[in-house]
Formats: sequence, structure tokens, C-alpha cells
Amino acid sequence: MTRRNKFLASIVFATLISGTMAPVAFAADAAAKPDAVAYREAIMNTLDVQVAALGQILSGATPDDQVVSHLEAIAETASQALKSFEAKVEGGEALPVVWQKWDDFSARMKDFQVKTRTAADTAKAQGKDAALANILDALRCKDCHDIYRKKQ
Amino acid sequence: MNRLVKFGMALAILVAPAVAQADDQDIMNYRKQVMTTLGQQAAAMNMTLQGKAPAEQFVSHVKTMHLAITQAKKAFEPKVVGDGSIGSAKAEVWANWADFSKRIDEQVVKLAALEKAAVEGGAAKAGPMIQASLDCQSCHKMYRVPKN
Ligand code: HEC
Ligand code: HEC
Repeated sequence: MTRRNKFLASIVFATLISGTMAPVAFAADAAAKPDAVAYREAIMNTLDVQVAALGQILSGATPDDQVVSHLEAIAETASQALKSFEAKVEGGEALPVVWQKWDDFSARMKDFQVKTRTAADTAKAQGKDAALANILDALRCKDCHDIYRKKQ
Repeated sequence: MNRLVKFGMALAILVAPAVAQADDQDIMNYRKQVMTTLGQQAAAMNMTLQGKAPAEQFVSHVKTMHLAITQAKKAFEPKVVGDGSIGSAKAEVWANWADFSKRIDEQVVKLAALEKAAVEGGAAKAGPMIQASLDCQSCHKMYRVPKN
């Protein structure tokens, strides 16, 4: 891949996955937010950068020797996400529908947790190629954001 | 805004200035992604200790920090000095690579021990170790461009 295409590919990957282009928010502006909002955003922002790293690897921009570690970090962080929304505190980029449709929201979060865990375990047991074959199905960040997160 | 329009605009803004150095930019992005993971998870971990977030998540945050620091050495190996902006990586990272990489190794060992204590005894056991386990500040002081 040419450098340009490589770069484009990683941006496209990031956009497809999370619908995000904005740089990650820093702790400073989290300080003014309610704790529950700052907390869940710290978790989402962790997902963002670990998925971005994976995206750079998939596009060939970054060597692929740490794929297993990134998949493990994504799975571990995904396991933090549901708890971080249990406190019903509106604000941040979360739409009130998170708590109005809690059954659906939490089912999606559990599904996300299970699939990312499967990807990480598959990578460890069978190697990274086996895990990456289905990775887009595990990273349906945007499906959830389209319903539960304010439009960017 | 229409999603395609938004996407196209974002591409134009992002791509135009960066293309010439896509590779260096990739390298800088990657190590920042790893460091940001540490920063976000450290903040989350602290919140669990301060009663601002569910206490039972403490262990998972420590685990994630440990994972992230294991990603750091590879991320800093390519010698691409930061752009000189506040907080960016100084040339000393590579000039003093033996020291820098030793610090990463030590941070890996400390976070592995912290994770072990957290898994065994939660915040009660790992909490008192935290201060001595985090070398973030001392490394940043030496190797990041200061605020002036
Ligand atoms: C089941 C739903 C769900 C899934 C799955 C999900 N998110 Fe989110 N995400 C949200 C919600 C809701 C918010 C808004 C949180 C807030 O700001 O209060 C959010 C916010 C974010 C933010 C903005 C954080 C900030 O500081 O404003 C980022 C970045 C993000 N998510 C990335 C991701 C990535 C990357 C993935 C997939 C690997 C993902 N999310 C998966 C629901 C989800
Ligand atoms: C061995 C040295 C070292 C250690 C240990 C270290 N860092 Fe860093 N960190 C750096 C360097 C160098 C940079 C600048 C990277 C750049 O801009 O290219 C940085 C940057 C950062 C950034 C800014 C990332 C960005 O997007 O610009 C954060 C946040 C961060 N570190 C958090 C932490 C935390 C939290 C810890 C401790 C758990 C830690 N770091 C431990 C060397 C270190």
C-alpha cells in the first residue's frame, strides 16, 4: 500500500468503527463533568485509542506484533463499559434513551463484551489472523453510537 | 450534517497537511495511543479508589494499565522525535535509549506486581502500593517537552 492509501485506510477504519474523528478528550476537560460521565468517557476513550492502534495495524501503518495485546486491552476495557453506565447520570454525549431502553442498551454492551473477549481469546489460542478475520463484527461501536450517543 | 459530507470534509482537513509524513505521524500516533490508554485508565482507577466509580472495577483498570505499558517499548522504538510541542517526546528518548527503555521495563515490572496484588486482594492490598508503582511523572519530567 502507498503511504497515502495506508493513512487513508486507517482513518476510514477509525471512522467506520466509532463514527469518531475528534481527538481524544483530555483529563482537564473531564474535571468539570459529573463523575459518572467522566468515568464512562475514560473507558470509551480507552476503547477509542486501542481500536485506533488496531486500525493502524490493519492498514499496515504500524507493525502487527502487538495485535494480541491490543485485542486483550479492548476486551478488558469492554468489560468495564456496562458498569460505567449503570449510574443513571445524563450528560456528556449519552442520550437519555440509554436508560429508557436499558434492556436493549445493556444487551448490546454485553454482546460487545462477549465478542471482544472471544476475539482476544481466539488470538491467543489460534493466532492473530484467526481473530482478525471477524474483528469488524466484534467492533460494532458505531451501531450503538448511532442510537445512544449524541450526533457528532 | 450529511454523513458523507462530514466524512469528506474531515478527510480533507486531516489528510492534506499530513500526507507528506504519514509514516512519522503513524509512529507518533501509535505511542500516544498507548500512553493515552495509561492516562485514561489511571484516571478511571483513581475514581474507583475515591468512591467516584464502582469499586469492583479497580482490578480491571490495573490490568489494562499493565497491558498498555507492555505495548510501550515497541511503540517508542522507532526513532521519530516529537514535534517540539508541549508534552511531546524529546530527542533524549532515543539519545538515552538505554535509560528510557529501562524505565519502561521497570514500569512493566511494577504494574505487573500491582496487578498481582489487585487480583489477590483488591484495592485493600494494592491500594497502598499505588504511589510507589507509578513512574509516570518521573519519566515525563525527563522525556517530554515541559510547559516552559
Ligand atoms: C452499547 C453501546 C456502546 C458501544 C458498544 C460502544 N459505545 Fe462508545 N459510547 C456510547 C455512549 C452511550 C457514549 C456517550 C457517553 C457519554 O459521553 O456520556 C459513547 C461515547 C464514546 C466516545 C466519546 C467519549 C467522550 O469523551 O466524549 C468514544 C470515543 C467512543 N464512545 C468510542 C467507542 C469505541 C471505539 C467503541 C467500540 C470499540 C465503542 N465506543 C463502543 C455507547 C457505546
Ligand atoms: C518510560 C517513560 C514513561 C513512562 C514510565 C510513562 N510515560 Fe507517559 N509519556 C512518555 C513520553 C515520552 C510521552 C510523549 C509521547 C509523545 O508525545 O510522543 C508520554 C505521553 C503521555 C501522555 C500524553 C499522550 C498524548 O496523547 O499526547 C499521557 C496521557 C501519558 N504519557 C500517561 C502516562 C501514565 C498515566 C503513565 C504511568 C502509568 C505514564 N505515562 C508512564 C513517557 C513515559
